[in-house]
Amino acid sequence: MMEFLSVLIPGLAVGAIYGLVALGFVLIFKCSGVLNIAQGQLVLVGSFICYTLSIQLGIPFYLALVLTLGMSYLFGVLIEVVLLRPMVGQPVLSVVMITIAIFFILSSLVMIFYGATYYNYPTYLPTEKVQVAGIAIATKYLWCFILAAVLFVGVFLFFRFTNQGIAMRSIADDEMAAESLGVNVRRLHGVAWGLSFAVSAGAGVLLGTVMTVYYGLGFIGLKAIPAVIVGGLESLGGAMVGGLIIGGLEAVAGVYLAPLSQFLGGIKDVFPYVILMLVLLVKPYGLFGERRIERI
Amino acid sequence: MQLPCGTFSTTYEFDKAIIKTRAHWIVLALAITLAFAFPTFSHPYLIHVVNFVFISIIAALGLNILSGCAGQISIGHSAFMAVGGYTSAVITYTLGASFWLALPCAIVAAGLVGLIFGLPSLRLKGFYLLLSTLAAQFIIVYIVAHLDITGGLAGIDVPYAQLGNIVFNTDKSFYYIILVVLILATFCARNLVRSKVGRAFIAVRDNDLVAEVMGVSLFRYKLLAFFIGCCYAGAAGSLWAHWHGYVCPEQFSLMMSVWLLGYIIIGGMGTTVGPFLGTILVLGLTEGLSTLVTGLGTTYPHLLDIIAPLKDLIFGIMLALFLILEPRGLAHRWYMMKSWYSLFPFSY
Repeated sequence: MMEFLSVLIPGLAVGAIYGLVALGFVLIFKCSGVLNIAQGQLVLVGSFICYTLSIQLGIPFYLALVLTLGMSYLFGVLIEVVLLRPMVGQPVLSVVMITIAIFFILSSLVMIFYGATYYNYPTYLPTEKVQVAGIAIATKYLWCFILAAVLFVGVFLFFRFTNQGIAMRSIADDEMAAESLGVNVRRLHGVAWGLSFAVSAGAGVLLGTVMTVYYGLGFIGLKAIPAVIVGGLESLGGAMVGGLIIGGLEAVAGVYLAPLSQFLGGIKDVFPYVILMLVLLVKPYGLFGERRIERI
Repeated sequence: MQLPCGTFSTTYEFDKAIIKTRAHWIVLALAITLAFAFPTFSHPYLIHVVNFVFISIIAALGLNILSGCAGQISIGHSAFMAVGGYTSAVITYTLGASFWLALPCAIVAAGLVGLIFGLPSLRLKGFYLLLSTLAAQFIIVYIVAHLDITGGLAGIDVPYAQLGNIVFNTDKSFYYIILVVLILATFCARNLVRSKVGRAFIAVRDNDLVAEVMGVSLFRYKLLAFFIGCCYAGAAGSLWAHWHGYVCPEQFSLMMSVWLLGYIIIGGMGTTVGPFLGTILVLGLTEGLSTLVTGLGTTYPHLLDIIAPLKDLIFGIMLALFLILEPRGLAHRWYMMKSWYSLFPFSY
């Protein structure tokens, strides 16, 4: 049991980060109905912006973090205005492909400017371990949970209580009705992208401090996709729950399934996609997603 | 379909024919002759690139039938190429059979695996289907990378194709095999889209519920689309394996699937000419660029490190530009050019 928990908890911490990235997905999907494949690249760019600001330009870390979030917000709005706005009303494939184009442009730009080298943040989070119910947990994992929870609650409150958040939910419900009631749909799409970008950048900085900053960080976005589907594409809470489920199962599969046979050796990396496939076959709208009934 | 001035369909056979006028026949014969003569006068590196382009076109033609005609978006097409490539490799290397047997087996095997991963398409569409093919990409490549028979991560050597005493072990000789398969593939694709099956695919793409109400069996045609699309991928994968002489899991990445989607979007979805135009434009530009950068690399060595991301950057920018400015792709421009030309010089 102890051993199981010591496997599960780091897994859940990674899952909290998946959940954060998934939160970014849901923010965009809820508001504009776009599934943004490039979400992981937003994480990547966010962590590199913060790295450049705080290490290469020597700005104090917390100021750099705030600047990163602000810049990411503006960057997100810019991407929406330039690339996504012309795609309104286009078929699903075109919209997905434009996000894939963003994926390519951002990841290749990062590769050109930073290369495939690993970069390390100095340790901002305390490194000692704490004992919880007899299990030693590295404090950085606790920080992952706490920061993820804070960001999640922030986004949740935003949707629940602010005017903009409520307007965004109305767009998600029925765009045309919302527009006729005076909601500025175009502006809010931009806001959604900006917020999503900022949340992802926050996740990126978090990942950077827990692990390292490198080019491959962008592929975490592809890992977050199973998390979104498990949780349901429209649900904020579902994104967090899905992230935790995927992160936990992935870690458990890596430790308990992998030694069973040679064939299962690298199962950790592909396990989320097996879950994705199963969820899509059995319950495609996820745990908390809305079931849409189609009319001709 | 634009016909030259004064050409009318007076018989049923004439109306059905793909190639209608003598000028068409002459141009086609010239083009095929030129294609067969191409390796005799061209630079070896160019033949290598053209082989790659042709194999990509075969795979893109399949993806175009699946995604462009039948509307079932797949972002795991290179995984089905992997199925074809590995089937072919195992049959020739482990079982010792010839390439000529392995190629059809690879095609059928990829088609069958495509059927399995096409099953979710009966319940899912749009984003959800896209994600299930994304899962297919990772799962298939994981399986081939961890089976003993496929040689694991290291991959396996594939014997070269042989016909009598001729061994197809160079770019130049293998070019002919690829060319023949490409011509056959194009012929099949061109005919498929104007048959009953092709019309059913288009009905499913435009609105699958309506199609079903009108009597198109979704079960049958969605799975058929996956089968045919993946058969093309299998052929491309098999050719790929025998061209390189080895297969390994890394050759069939997610990025390759995305590039294939990019070719058909830039070329024009749902048209047979689209995959040709798109693949040639994208690969022509990126290969030309990488040749240029490699040339500059002798004076600026650090440029060599950024060739791969530079290709991705060009691809991403082209994709975005085409989606925003010309969503119907190069094929649309091509048809406009043809209709302008057929009335030339009195286009008013």
